Amino acid sequence: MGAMIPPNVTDPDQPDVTPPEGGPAAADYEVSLRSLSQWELAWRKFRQHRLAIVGLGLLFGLVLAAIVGPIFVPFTPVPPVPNQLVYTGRPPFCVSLDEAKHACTQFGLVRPFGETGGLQADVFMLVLNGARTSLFLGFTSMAIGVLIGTIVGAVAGYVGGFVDNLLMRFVDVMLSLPLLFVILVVARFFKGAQDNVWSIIIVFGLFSWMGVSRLVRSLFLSIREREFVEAAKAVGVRDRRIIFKHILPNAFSPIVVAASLIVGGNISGEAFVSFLGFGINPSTPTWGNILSNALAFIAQGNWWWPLFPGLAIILAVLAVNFVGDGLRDAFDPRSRA
Amino acid sequence: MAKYVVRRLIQAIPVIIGITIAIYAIMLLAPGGPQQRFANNPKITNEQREKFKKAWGLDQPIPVQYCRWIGFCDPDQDGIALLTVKNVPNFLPESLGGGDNGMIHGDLGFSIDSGESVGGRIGKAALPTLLLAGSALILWITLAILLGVFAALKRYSFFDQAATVFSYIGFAMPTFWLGLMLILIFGASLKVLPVSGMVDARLSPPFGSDQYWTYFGKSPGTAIVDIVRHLILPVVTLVVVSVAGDSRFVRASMLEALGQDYVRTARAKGLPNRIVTFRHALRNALLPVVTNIGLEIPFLFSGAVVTESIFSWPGEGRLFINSITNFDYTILMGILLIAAILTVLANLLADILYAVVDPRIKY
Amino acid sequence: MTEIISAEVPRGAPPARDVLLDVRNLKTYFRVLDGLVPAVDGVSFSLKRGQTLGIVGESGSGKSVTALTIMRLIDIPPAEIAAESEVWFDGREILGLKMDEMRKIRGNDVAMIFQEPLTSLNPVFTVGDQIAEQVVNHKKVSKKAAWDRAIESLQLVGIPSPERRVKAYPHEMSGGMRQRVMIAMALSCEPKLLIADEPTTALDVTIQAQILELLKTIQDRTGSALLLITHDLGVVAEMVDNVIVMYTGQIVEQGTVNDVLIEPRAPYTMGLIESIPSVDKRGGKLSAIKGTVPNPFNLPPACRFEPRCPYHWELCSRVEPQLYDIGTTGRQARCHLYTPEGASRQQAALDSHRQAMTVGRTDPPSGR
Repeated sequence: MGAMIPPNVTDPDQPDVTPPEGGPAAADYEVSLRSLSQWELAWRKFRQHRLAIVGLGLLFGLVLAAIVGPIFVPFTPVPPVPNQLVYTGRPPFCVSLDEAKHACTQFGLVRPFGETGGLQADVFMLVLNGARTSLFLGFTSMAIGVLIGTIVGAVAGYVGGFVDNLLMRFVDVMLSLPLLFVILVVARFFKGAQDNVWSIIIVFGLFSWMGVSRLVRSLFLSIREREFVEAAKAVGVRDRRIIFKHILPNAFSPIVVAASLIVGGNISGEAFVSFLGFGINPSTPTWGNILSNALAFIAQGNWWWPLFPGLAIILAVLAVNFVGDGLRDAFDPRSRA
Repeated sequence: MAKYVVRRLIQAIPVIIGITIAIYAIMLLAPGGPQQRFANNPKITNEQREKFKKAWGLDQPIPVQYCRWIGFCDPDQDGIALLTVKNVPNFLPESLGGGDNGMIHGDLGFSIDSGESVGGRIGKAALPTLLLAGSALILWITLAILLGVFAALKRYSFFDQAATVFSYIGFAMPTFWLGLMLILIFGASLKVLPVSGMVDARLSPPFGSDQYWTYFGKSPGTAIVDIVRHLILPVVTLVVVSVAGDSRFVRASMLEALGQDYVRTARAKGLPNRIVTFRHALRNALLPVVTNIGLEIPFLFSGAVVTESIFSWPGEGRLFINSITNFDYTILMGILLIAAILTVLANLLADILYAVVDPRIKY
Repeated sequence: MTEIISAEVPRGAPPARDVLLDVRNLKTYFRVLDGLVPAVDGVSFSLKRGQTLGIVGESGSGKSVTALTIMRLIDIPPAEIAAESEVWFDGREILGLKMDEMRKIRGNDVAMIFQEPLTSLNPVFTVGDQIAEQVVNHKKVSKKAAWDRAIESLQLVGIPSPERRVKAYPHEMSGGMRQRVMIAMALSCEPKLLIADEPTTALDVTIQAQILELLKTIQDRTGSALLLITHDLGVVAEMVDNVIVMYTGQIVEQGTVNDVLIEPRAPYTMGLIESIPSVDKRGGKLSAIKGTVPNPFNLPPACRFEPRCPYHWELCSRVEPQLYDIGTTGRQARCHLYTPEGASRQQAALDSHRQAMTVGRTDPPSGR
């Protein structure tokens, strides 16, 4: 996977670029090749995938907003006002509300996403601050899951035998459990003891690895047997080189897709768990827990409260899915550049 | 075929045993145990806590508790008591002198919260969930196949592109958020559909109660319409995300089938387009779709939790959530167990179905 | 798939009665991202009733596309068929037919056998089902009658215990048997023309012989014409009356099988024949045609074979050769050697080829 090499040096991983015998005349009607390294090829294919570029841009924007936003619009936890009557919350750009008629009496340049009911928190501020935790949670839990999954799958696939059998039975058991149920229980109970963001991240990480492990295992199994590994071995390539240069690059594509789905799933999952109150403590906002009391207010027409955090989640998941699709096509050796 | 099914069932047993261990282990992850329900209540004395622990067998070591739950150990004696007081192995049926506790005897324990038998409590919540999940399953399969097949047939058309947009966005939506938005639109703004519960409290008694069935007998038409009206929003919520994802899979599978050599042969035979598409291509395209759907049935459980909590649907999902809040371990374990076993059965069903429809599979 | 030819293009006259298939100036181009690929570039030939014609060429020469275009099994975008191309079958021009009409002909009057019988048969239906559905579709008979016909067809192709086999699935049969099933399927409606696209390429050598024998027997019995497409010269030698040799979408030589195989005239054909290893040439180098098939986007400006031709001279890179007549028997070759300008070089080329056939080439042919 290196850069272009001068034509006289032969590298077993690059096709031979020396000109064919017979002089320049023979080459006239043949197509000339310039070999690209794997990463260049992947980037070229990725670039052509319009949705992937859109996704990448979206992701970049979201991450930027998550990092920079809270500096300008910091999170101010709103203390509950004692003995407060149930209060609907003002719509976007509304300065004062006529509660009886549920209509806005005065518009102004405030609260572009409106205000929550009850605690009267600015939804825009909540969504912007929630981005940090939600995105962080999504990616970190995915990293944990993929790490565990790759290790388990690789060990099972490469070692085989009893170890493989044992590990895969374990995966079967884990996969038979209804994951959301389990996550809810564990998150809630864990929270009782350790109420911080990392416990939820770890919980999601611990339940996202199974799919990846099966994937990695089957890849190791099938690729181990495939002809080109035999061919490499026949030429005398060492084991470790086989794994890294030959097996893993083929595994990249499906793992990337699985990873993108995990990020999306975990962001959505955390949102629901926090919405129920079983997840991250509202002192750290996430796109989910800012919705925790929204259900009661929806009946009163409070549309801005669930809409904007939901849109944020959808955008994040879409972005990750697009990028995942693009990466899959980019690394799939069968797709054209 | 029967041999295959039996063989698979036998293979499932170690998995089920593993599941029970896993469930137990998960419950243990929660520090404190069922006594947590009293954790913040200063009025409960230590003495009362001890009595509670003893009554529920929580003073015994973990393996003993597990053993009792399964039904191998006699709960009336301390420690690992594999034999009953009459010196008969506890796992035998009661009629032969064995015990009457544990899964082996069909006993899932009693609810810590209400004292009802777990089996009974879960049973009561089963019908609403079945109704919800069942309707969702039928709708989901039908829509996913219709959408996917027509998107494949009219590739690159407006319909296909709209379907693709729908599938991307639908797939990215969190289910609970969709539920909230639907409540907003249809319940709060348009006010055309009910947003909570299963029946209209003004019209009928609570679902499942004896009075309800009397009411149902007297006017089944109104009762059914009532339930259907309440069913619409939850089912739509459940179905959208799954259809969005699956329709793309169906489309891809259909496109692949349409590109196969046997489709070219069918055309070369001069068969009309309709037969080529629906008899030759679709039949093959549906093979992976069948397995896929079989494998996704367990996601209906998670979906049920989400929808039931948002729409206050009196089913297993809502029971589960409430039990978490009340630290009702026995109910939680019961639901987890049943859900896990159903998942294993669903996977088995998917495999069998596949073997039935694909003549190439030998079993 | 839409109709391709507008009604305004003037039609030629139908061919003589005994000509079953008349292909005139067939051009099938594929529009791809990088440009226009001339897969079939002006191919014309005809086939009389009951005759056998072989189309020979390497992969990529356009032979399969020719057959698929005749059957109109090519997807119109990305393919384009030139408006001036015509295909006459049994007195009708079929490129301009409406699809409904074409479907009545396909499987009924013209049937096609494909290369890979495992993937060409639908894996989820029984063999009998697949044969019967065609009969029902074209002959409008009852299912029972169609099923009987299916059993009959299986018997015709030599499958033992056809009443049992008819209920089998494709994956339950061997490769040779599957190909017999494909042939049975093709014959079930008694077509006038059978097109076989590499029918034996995917089979073992011993089975190949059986299948070819079968095709011959059936042809004799039913009197149908056969269009046999292959890259295997041995197959051609066994089976056909006339041969067409294709290269980069064009015909480079045509004539009777004896003429073309024993006394080839086009340098490409000569190269093909020479490259067949033979015991007589023991000791010499294995002969191969130098160079590779040109990139379709980068075809040589005049004669497409020129860069690889041992007999080329400067005319060949300047002027594109047409199909020139050799003698009066309908023999043709696309080579300047058969024009007045090339006449002087003809004998040297033929001698060089004759020598290569007897002793093998011991040094690279002149020009390289």
